[in-house]
Parts: sequence; structure tokens; C-alpha cells
Amino acid sequence: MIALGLVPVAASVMLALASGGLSRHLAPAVAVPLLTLLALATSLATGLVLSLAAFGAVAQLPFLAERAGWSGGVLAPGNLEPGWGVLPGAIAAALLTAALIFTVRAARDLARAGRACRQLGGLDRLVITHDDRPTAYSVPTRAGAIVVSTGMLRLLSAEERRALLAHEDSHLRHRHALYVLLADLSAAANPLLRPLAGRVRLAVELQADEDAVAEIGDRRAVARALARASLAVSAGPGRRRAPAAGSAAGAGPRGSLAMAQTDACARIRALTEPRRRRSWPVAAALVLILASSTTALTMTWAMHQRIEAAQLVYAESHAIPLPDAAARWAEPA
Amino acid sequence: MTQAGPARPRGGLEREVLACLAAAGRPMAPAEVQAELGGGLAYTTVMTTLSRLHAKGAVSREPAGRGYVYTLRGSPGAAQASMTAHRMLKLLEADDDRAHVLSRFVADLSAEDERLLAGLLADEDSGTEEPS
Repeated sequence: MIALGLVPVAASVMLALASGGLSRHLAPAVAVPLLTLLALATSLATGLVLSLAAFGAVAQLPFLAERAGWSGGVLAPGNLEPGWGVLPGAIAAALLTAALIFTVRAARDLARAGRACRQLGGLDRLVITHDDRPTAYSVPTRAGAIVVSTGMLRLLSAEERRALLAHEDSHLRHRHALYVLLADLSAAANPLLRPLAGRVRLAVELQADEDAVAEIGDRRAVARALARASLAVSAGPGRRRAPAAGSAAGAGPRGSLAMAQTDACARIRALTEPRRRRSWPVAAALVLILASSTTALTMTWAMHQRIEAAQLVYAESHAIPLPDAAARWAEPA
Repeated sequence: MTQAGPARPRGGLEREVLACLAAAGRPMAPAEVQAELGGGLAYTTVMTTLSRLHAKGAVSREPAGRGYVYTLRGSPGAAQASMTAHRMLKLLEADDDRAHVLSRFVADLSAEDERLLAGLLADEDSGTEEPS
């Protein structure tokens, strides 16, 4: 049972090390839902396995077993000392707290963005701000909005403006913000999944870029829009400049920040030299999703059965009348 | 099969026309908008889009010559809108701990990235000028 519990943990470690290799050859339209599902499944399974391990070890404590009405000896997996439950329990509690904090912050930020968006007004989901600083972003409220400053629009040619609008429209149409939030939530609940969440963020951008290409029919125009906008934003006043991706000091305080640094170049590369798609990463991701979810379900079911058995043994040893369901189960057919 | 490029999404052309007027920052005649947008757009299409935008109150127009020139109508509370946009930017630039609720068109660049992109643009721009 303990070996089985290591499956989601092993999957997390694998994803921490190799999420780039897994996502590189995926078509962005496939990568976005697949990698998000992978992050969610792995994160949920890890949390569940940790919680079950903690529960199994702690639930055999005599005073707990007595109150709950189950036999501690039957419940304890492989005569594990109750002390072993402390570590997985503490980790599970810490990760759950992190996930909760993330959720609260995300909900608050979304509500703020929605309020601000309503105040800005705009037409046809386009809000133009009269601002010389070049900015462009999309706001994932129910209606959705694309916010672009006049400073950004002035920099681009008509074709490049069309590419930018098509890109942001793609984010809203595909509900990309939802995928990114779910992936980030998974990473909050399991920090090993941070690189994978970064890959979801990149895949979302790549898909929006591809949609822009599909609309205007010119890969180089989209690449140009991207390069021009990137340079303008990073040259703007008051911007914190990302440290060089290669330098040792520039690794950034967090994995996701380092990811963002190479985003623009990865996107330009994807636009100028499209990659060959392969099908093995799809299979690999599906196997990982299946392995993690099967493990979680199996272990939950096993724990459920063990609790029932422990309750039976306790009831028999204390000569307590069994509840209906348990009685039926205990009687020989 | 009359359209040159792939179709625009719903409301796509209206957005492009608005963006075009905003970028110009001055009144534009329909023919100018048509020339700026390019891509085989018919004059009547641009004209229709502009009058629809005018009906919605997004652009204002004034007579010029035989027709009209159009300007992007500034939002009613420009100062307020600018403050709201500023608050939004703060959300956008939230540190990495925070949820990424807003998705930016482009992220920050490293110095290395900057050189690479500037190089790409230089190539592109010289490449597009050659034929003319």
C-alpha cells in the first residue's frame, strides 16, 4: 500500500524534471487541456495519498480509535507507528493551506478585475485606454474584455494590431484564464508541479498565437507584433527588467518567473520554425493521469474497506449491535 | 470565396477599426481607414462598420468635404477610466505569488531576449522594404 502511494509522488517528481520534454511536441490546442488535467490529477492524487497516510497512522491512536469505534490494530497499515502519520499529515495540511490561500487570492483578484472592467466600459469587448505606456491584456470576466492602450496601438501596424486583437480574443474564447488558474492551483497544492503549470501558461500563449496566425494567415506578422510589443513593454519606464535567462544570478526567485523570461523567445521560435508534433507525449500524459487517479481511487477504496473491517472487529469485541449495513455484510450468506 | 484572408471573428472588424482610430489619434475619413486596414476590405464594409460604431456611440463624426471624418470618442470620465486602468495594471504586475488572473500579451524580456527580438525585427523590416 505504501509503495502504491508513491505513484503520484513519483509522477510529480517526473513532471518537475521533464515537463518541458513532455509539452514540447504537443500541439498547443491539445497541450492546454491535457497538461491542465495532468496537473489537477497529480495534485489531487498527491494530496489524497498524503492525507490517507496521515489518517491511517493517526487513526490507530487508542483514544481516537475508542471514540470512533474502530479497532486500531486493524486500521494500522503494516504495524506503522502512529508517529509516522505526523510527517504526511503536516505536509498535507501545509499544502492544503497553500491551495486555500491561492483560491482566496485568485477569487479576490478576479472580482477586482471584473469590477475595474465594468467601470472601464468599452465596446465589443475592447477597452482602449488613453495611455502612452504600451499595455495589452485580457480580462477573464464573464463577458471578457481586451484592454489595450493607445501607446501600444500606435506602435503596431494594422496587421500587427489585428494579430494582437486575435491573440487576446483567443484567450477569452478558449477560457484560457481558467486553465491557467487550475494549473496554478495544482502547483500551489503541490510545488513540484510548478514547472508544469509554467508549461500550461506557455501553451495558452502558443495556442493564442496560432489562432492569430489562423486569422490573419501570416506567421511572420504575428511574430513581428509579438517582438515589437515585447520590446516596447520592456523598454517602458518603471518596468522591472527580467534578469538574463542564462546568467547564474538570473535564475529568478521562482521557477515560474524564470519561465516567463523565456516566454517571448519560445513563442517567436514556435512562430518562425514550427515544431513537428508527436503523439507519444499524449500517451505519456494519459498514462500519468490514469496512474495517479487509479492510485488515488484504489487507496481510498482500500481505506474505506479497512475502516469497515476495523469497525466490525471493534463491534464484535465490544458486543455492540451492528448497524444494518455492517450486519448484512457480517452475516454469512 | 470573395474574402481574401480567413474570416474575422464576430466583432473583429469593429475592434480593428476602433484600434485603427485610436492609433491614429486624429479624425479619419473612411477611405483612410480602408487604406490603413488593407487586406482587400471593401469601402462599403468599412463605411458600414464606421456608421455602426457611430450608432453605438463609440466614435464621433463631423462633416468634412462630401462625407464625414471619424474620431474615437474618449470615455466619458477619462480621469476615472485612467485610474481604473492603473488599478488593473497593479493587478497585472502583481508578484509571482499571486494568481495570474489577467493575461498579458507579452511578458518582460531579459537583455538577451531583447537583442534577439531586435535582430528579428531588423531582419523583418529590411526584408519587407526590399521588394519596393
